[in-house]
Amino acid sequence: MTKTKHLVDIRDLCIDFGPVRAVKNANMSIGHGQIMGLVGESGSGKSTLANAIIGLLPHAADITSGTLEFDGQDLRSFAPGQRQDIRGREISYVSQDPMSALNPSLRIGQQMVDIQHWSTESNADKLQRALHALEQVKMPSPQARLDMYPHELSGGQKQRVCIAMAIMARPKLLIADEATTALDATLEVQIVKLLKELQSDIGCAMLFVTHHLTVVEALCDDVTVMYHGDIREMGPVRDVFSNPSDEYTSSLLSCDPARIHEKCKRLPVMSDLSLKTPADPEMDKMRIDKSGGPILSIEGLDVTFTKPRGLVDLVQGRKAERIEAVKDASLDIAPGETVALVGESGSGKSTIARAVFRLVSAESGSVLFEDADLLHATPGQMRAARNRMSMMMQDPIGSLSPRTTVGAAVVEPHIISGNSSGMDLQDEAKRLLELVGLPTDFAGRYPHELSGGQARRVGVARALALNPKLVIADEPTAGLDVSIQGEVFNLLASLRETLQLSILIITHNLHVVRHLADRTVIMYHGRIVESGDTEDIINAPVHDYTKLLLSANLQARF
Amino acid sequence: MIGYAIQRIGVAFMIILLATTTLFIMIQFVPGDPANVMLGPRATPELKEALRERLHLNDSVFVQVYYFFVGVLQGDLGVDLTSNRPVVSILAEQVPYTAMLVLSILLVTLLGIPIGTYAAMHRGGAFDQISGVVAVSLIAVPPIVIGLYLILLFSVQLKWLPAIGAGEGFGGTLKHLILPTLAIGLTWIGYVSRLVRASVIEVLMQNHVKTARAFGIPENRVIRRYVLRVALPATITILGVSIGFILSSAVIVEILFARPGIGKLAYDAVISRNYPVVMGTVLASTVFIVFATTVSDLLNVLLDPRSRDANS
Amino acid sequence: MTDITTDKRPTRAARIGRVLLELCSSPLGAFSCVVVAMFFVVGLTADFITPYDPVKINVRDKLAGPSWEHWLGTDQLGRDVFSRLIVGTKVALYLAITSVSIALAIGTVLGMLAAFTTQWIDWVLLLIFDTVRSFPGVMFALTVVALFGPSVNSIVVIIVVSTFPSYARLIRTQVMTLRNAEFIEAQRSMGASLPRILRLHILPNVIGPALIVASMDVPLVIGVEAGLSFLGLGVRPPTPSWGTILNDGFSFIRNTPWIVFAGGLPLILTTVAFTSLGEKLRDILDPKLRK
Repeated sequence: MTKTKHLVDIRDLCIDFGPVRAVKNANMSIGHGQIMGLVGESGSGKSTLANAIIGLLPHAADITSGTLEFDGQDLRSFAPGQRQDIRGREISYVSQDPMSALNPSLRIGQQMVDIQHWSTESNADKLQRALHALEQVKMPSPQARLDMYPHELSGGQKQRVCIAMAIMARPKLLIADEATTALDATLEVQIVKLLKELQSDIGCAMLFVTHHLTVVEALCDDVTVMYHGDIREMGPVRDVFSNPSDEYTSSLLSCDPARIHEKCKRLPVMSDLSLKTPADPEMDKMRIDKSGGPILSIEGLDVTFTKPRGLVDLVQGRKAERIEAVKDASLDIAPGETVALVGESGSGKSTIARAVFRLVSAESGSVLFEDADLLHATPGQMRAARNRMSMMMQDPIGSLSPRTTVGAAVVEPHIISGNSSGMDLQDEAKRLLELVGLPTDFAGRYPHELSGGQARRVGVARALALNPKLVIADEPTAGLDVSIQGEVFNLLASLRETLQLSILIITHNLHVVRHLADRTVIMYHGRIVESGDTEDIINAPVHDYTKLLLSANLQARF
Repeated sequence: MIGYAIQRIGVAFMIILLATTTLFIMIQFVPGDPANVMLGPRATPELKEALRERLHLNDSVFVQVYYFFVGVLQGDLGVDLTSNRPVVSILAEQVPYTAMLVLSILLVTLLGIPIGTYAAMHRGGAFDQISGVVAVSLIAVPPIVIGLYLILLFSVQLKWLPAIGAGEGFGGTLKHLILPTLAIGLTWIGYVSRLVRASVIEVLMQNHVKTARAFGIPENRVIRRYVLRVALPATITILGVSIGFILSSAVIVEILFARPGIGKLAYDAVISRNYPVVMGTVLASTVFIVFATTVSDLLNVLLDPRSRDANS
Repeated sequence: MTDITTDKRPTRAARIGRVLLELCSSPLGAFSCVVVAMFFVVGLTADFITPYDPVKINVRDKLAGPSWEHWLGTDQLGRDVFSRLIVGTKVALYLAITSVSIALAIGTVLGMLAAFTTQWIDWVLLLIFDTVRSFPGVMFALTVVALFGPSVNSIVVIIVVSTFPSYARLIRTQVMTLRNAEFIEAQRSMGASLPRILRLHILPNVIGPALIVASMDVPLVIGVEAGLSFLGLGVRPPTPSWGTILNDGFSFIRNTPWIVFAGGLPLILTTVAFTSLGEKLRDILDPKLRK
């Protein structure tokens, strides 16, 4: 065996799922101690390639040709037992979803001892090493964590445990498969920082699989770009990002909302980069009608959840446990204005929207929509209000009823509002689908036959069916690939111009919001901590949390 | 956890109370006078009246239920109307036969765990497919039919095993247990193997198993500590809930194989309108079923740290 | 509305066709489909296709072995066992359809009620479900028979009461998961009424699994009938049912074992077919297992 220059050397590798080729003639090499970023959109084959290196391809997948060398050894010629010896010792792995990555029925300490099966030391020594690893990943009170079960840790802490497990054996290669995707932005920064520190301490190489270009720019030495199973480009991050040689890479880079630093009226999309147009502050001002009162005015809103009680609690008449989800929230939206409500998961931002639609009941405060108090509205008043405002739920496909066709779904608001008699609903469905740029023959499709972006458009069409004045959109771009985010953004931007919509966008993603929102409201732990003009907030944040969120979201300072 | 246990046990008592009362009330509507059963049709009206008074038969149903439970608390379930013996001692004689049968069925049922695990690990393989077809067939066919075919094959044709009675001595008892156990147990081996297979497959697809493999933990250890440990508690709960079915089929099989036990006892008692014995057998079997479900539920909570905390 | 829903029809028919095709692609699936279809056909036409009168006594030919005249032999009264089995299908079919559909209907209504009501009512319903499930089924069956006398309708009552809680529980759990699904929240945000949500968006999504359980409960029905009739507590003679035929045959099992052997065959065929049909349908329709 000869010592090669690279730690990982992949040549002409093909991976097939039955008749489908998931990875096509891939060539990639990772040098010793280098950090390689592997980027691509969903379905590009990036995770398949990473799984092939660690030897955990699903049963349906086969490596059909090419070579896969690790540290000068041909991994394809290895017996399963030999692969297993390498796993966890020379190559280790941090998986995508920290919430499910640990065994729910074993203590953290037991799991960390289990993975040291290669060592002949005593259990006490193994526990000592586990403790040391937890200290290395800066886990608070590490000794106590060893005796805990995974469900007792937060998401960020679980990911720290996973990383501690991955570095314990001082591997030569660490594979992190979307290791920060499921985390909030501020947490993502901490984890990426930690990974970089540990990597330079141990001196291992790292393969960082992600769709998040900003993280790659901040963390990696080299980058590989994949698209539809092809490796489109590989090289040093600096070169690829500043001067991409491949057309797909360059489109991807210019479409990422996070990389567009000036405010835009339209964002470029993969199929048409020329759509990009700078924002027009005068036009934006004209759009907003400040002459009258706000269309929606929320004052001092409090929402408290109660935990469900068991039979014993009911019999004893015990008071239900209370969780304050929203505390004293106030917020105004002027006609024609777009306001962004920004916060991380659990901050209570969606709860505000749900309280407006009375999906949850508010404890105190008021919600005035066109001067009607929604919190105390009669069913009739509420019905009238629902004809003038609508809501888009977060999950594009999950918010459509699985057994209702697209055509029936988009006209549902008409039927529910009781105004459908004498209306040609088929024509109306066509009109709505055309409005959001979907072919009219989509009317016969079911939600599971749609892509995320298409389902989102159906959601927009349904929200606009009654020609509302206010649309509340919960995470309209979450879960969509970067290239689709721009399309949804442009759709919302053009609709609000033609239909004079007021929009409340609820999101954790500041990148899209900065182009769309006139004003931004920041929420933290159920309270509104800051609000103001979007540009002002981005350029001169006041509250500490806003500063933290901004540095995590917009700047690539890790 | 202790709070949850108290809650579970409280519910268990409520269920026993509710079930027994319902049955008690239903029995009141069964035509036929117990006094006639006990004393025969030619007894004098005075004698009958005295007996009714003694058994509280003239009081309302709810008073009777009250006296019944007062008796239960004192270990008194009344007397057999035909033999005049205390129901408690009749039950004490018969319950062990049924308990033995149920226990041996449960033991046989454990075979389903390795079968299901192996099938799940080699999903789609020959063993998985064959065991799948066999298991589904065993689940489907009613125990009484399985029992009849077992008798046809092993007693009538081959004459290897006895078809009637409970046998005497250790060897005889064991020999007489085989066919009744198989008549019910085969169904349950099939059922458990399918349950275990399904939950093992589900756990195998979970992310933490991939993590364990990514760290090179040997496969048999992965299966033991990372798959079965997560998959089995749920199976135990389902089994606990299903124990009523085992008991029900045990009753029928006892009659088919002419085995002593509470099945035969209850059957004869219902046919002859022997109330106290009916109530005694119902109480005994309800307590047994509720006990089994409660224990398996608590066991599941004990084995699964997540629900342990959620319910504490 | 009507025009849009007509769009749906060809796709729905195509979907049913696809499921059937997938069902019949494996030998076991094809076998199950054929047997289940035969069960319905034979059950409906039983009175017209028997070679002999199933209740006609012919003492001269009693306990005859299988022959060309009597394919499965005759019983202790000389009645043709094959004809009796065919007519027995009628009872089994009647029981399967009535008891399973009544239990399914009661369970669905109570399950949806439990999921969409106050915590108190939910708890009371759950307690009732659990009580019925903890009740020793056979004891209940014996009491019902003592109460109403042995008859086909007693069997229906026994099966309905002992199986509706499992449907109710299944439906309740499923509705509870759906209740907070985003598409239901979306409906509520549009102001859709509870009956509309239940009918159009919840029922279609929960009824599938319950129907599969229902198809797998048919063997249970057949088993209960066989068990009770075998004990002499079910269908009354001379009406032939699969259980009474077994009961008749059991008395002569030492001398003429073929009656029990033949009597068990239709039970085995139908129960295995219904169970594997249910399993196959679940595999095909469960999107989680599809991937």
